[in-house]
Amino acid sequence: MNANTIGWTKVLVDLPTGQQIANAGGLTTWTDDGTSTSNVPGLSTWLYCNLSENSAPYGYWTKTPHTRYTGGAWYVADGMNVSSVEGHVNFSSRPVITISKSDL
Amino acid sequence: MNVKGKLPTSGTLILNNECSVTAVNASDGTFTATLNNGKVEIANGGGTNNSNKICTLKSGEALAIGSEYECDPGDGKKRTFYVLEDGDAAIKTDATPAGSISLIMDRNIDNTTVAWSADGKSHKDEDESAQAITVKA
Repeated sequence: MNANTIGWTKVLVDLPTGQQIANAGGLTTWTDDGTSTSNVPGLSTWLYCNLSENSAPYGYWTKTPHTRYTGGAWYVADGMNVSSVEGHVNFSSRPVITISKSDL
Repeated sequence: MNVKGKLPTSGTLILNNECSVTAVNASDGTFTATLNNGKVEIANGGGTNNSNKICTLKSGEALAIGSEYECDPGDGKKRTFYVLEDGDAAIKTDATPAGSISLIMDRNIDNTTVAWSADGKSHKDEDESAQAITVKA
């Protein structure tokens, strides 16, 4: 993704965290170890728009690993769930920009 | 009436029955228009300059989670983003400092798939194995 955002000089660029997605989806009790829930179903469509069900990438990675499931990380499709990261290349990346409110 | 060019986004333009301008108080961030002795005077650079704004609201309420903005992150290309997190909200993560806002793009950065790195800190493109995604541009 770096190559695609190299010109983004006005903003900070990062991946979403699992907690950011969960909070935006209204599940504030979510934890990255999956103790509150193993997945976050029914996210608002703006959190997973422009994805294809028929061909990869089916979703996008968060930057959050699953803290109890070694080798797993949280991803977002129509909900947020956990995938093994080993050998899985079904997901892409979706940038999050952070800016001062004065830039809005 | 034949109106050309970019219309003001705020202000008031009053016309009489002959479509003559009788009062003007309008600006769009790049000009300010006023009526002076029967003539409309345009001043460049008047009003609030919005040209340096990175994002502009397209739909929803300002700063509300899920509201749609059009943003130019710096490469001159406008893209659609949604408000993901407000740094001044009661419930938020450390990823968004106070006084800031985080927005997520409406699509993936491209259609390529990427592997998630095992250290939990970086995500690497298949052809950019040494690059972390979490750069600060």
